[in-house]
Amino acid sequence: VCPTELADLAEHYDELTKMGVEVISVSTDTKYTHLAWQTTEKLLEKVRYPMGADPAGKVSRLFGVYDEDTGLALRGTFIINPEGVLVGSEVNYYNVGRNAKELVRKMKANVYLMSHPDEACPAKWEEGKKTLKPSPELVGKVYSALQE
Amino acid sequence: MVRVGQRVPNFELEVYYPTTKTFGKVSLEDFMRERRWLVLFFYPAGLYLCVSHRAGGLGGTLR
Repeated sequence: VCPTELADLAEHYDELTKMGVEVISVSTDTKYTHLAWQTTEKLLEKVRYPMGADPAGKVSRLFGVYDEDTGLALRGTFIINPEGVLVGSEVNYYNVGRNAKELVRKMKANVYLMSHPDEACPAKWEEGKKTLKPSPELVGKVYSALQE
Repeated sequence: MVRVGQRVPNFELEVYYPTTKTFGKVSLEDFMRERRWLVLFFYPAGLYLCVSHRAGGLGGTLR
């Protein structure tokens, strides 16, 4: 699963950096292993984001993805806003890969909401689509608010 | 352990830069100073697990 997820992420890296987002992949490998793997695995030849080394598991523990049984990090994606607040967290088990396209969608929503703090993005929100303004008036009227 | 909605304490990471094939060190503070968003993308260690997945799937191969 791993090299396919990293390759998928590499394909969306430009789109993310253009939004002001930096991406760092992290595993409990050392930086030397990152170098060896990235330069030999064909699937990783397009990777341009920094690859973080967390051999002692310190950062993995901070985010709760360190697996004490294996010494490995679970498949976790964490979004930290420019103020240092954790605003997104997704953790999957070893056997299911993530979708970088969904990460891009979530990042677009997060970046939009940073400059529109009184709004919220409904399910499956895409750039340019209608947002919601949570208020007492909206209660029970979400359906019609989205039709307007 | 940090939860969604909480401020993330500063941390440092040694990194490998594939574009230049060099090593460096980054910290959360660096990104905050530049007013950038940061996505951390954790995955199980490179070669070993991926190979065991292909060879035998999940289960005993993880330990």
